[in-house]
Amino acid sequence: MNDKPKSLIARMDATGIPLLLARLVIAFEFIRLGIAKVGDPVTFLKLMRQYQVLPEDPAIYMNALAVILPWVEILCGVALLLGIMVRGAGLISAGMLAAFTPLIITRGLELFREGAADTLCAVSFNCGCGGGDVFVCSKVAVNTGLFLLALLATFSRSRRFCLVQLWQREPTLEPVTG
Amino acid sequence: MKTILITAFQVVVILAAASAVAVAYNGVSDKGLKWSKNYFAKSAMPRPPVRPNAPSGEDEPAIPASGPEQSAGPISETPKKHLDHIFQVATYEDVAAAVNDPLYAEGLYVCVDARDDENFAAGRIPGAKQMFPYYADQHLPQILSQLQIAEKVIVYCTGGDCEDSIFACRELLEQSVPFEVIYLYEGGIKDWQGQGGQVETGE
Repeated sequence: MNDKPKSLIARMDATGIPLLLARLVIAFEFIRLGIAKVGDPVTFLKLMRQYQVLPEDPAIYMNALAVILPWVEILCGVALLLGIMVRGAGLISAGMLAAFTPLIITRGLELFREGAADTLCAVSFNCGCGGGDVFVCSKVAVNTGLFLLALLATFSRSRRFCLVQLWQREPTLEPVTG
Repeated sequence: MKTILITAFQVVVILAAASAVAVAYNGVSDKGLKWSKNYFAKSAMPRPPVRPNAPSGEDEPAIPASGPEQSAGPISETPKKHLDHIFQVATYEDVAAAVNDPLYAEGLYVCVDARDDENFAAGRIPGAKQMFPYYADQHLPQILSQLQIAEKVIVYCTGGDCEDSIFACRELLEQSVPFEVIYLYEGGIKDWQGQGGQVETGE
């Protein structure tokens, strides 16, 4: 029996509500954006090219990323929605957001220097995120919020409202043994 | 430690499942990408023929001067390019003259629209044939034989920095459409409409 008093964060986490909200928000965004990319892989490929992160030759790296990445988003979204493999899905989501958000900032800065707008926040371009043209600052703000929610999903100990409870007989709180 | 291992296992499972679904979907989708095709290859662009009288060692493209005596058609002067490519450039006036030429109706002058289905249906140069370079396999069979014997093939996309028309030109060159007949309308549909050109809509 653990007599140690729980912190406010731990008590909130134990309700499962923060995790549920985080899961739903990320799932909605990732599934929506992932489906948009899957439906138009060429546009996604062309938009990825603007970041000049992967070599164009050999082409297989960029083509593979354009084909696979949207499905990673969708599967992460589905996993979070259902509440299975929550930690893994949260970690991948956080990783993708951590990788792509700096690229959006970098590209936004490039366009700003090229005179695309008077301020960085007024720079608007299609970041390849699946939602068409976005303003740099608002997209970065959204991604930062999603990143924090993804971290919450990764590190939350609660498994309330998760489908995984049905077949794993997991306790509501996972023991942290790492 | 157990949590870390479980998380790592979940990451692997999700990535593997996503890869499997992606490969399967890409294989059956008519919008699937070819894994190894370089859709943006400019360096791999076939070199046009070298001028017969060019000094040895020079391998610059044999872009015709396109004066009336050298080019059977309305391309009057080689306009300055603003995109990086090797193709001859057509202006609005050149394209308009070609479209109004009887040879256009006969199919010897052809406009090729290098945009996707949605944009093609929304408005194109009248009589233009669609050849979206990323799905060239779907469009070329219907038009390739005509393009291979055409006297002038004018390729365009949206205009501005749109490069799809360049990739379409490269695709045509690879499909044995002679370099000499390929013209790139850099202004694209934006320039065409901006200058009052008529458009045709629908599929």
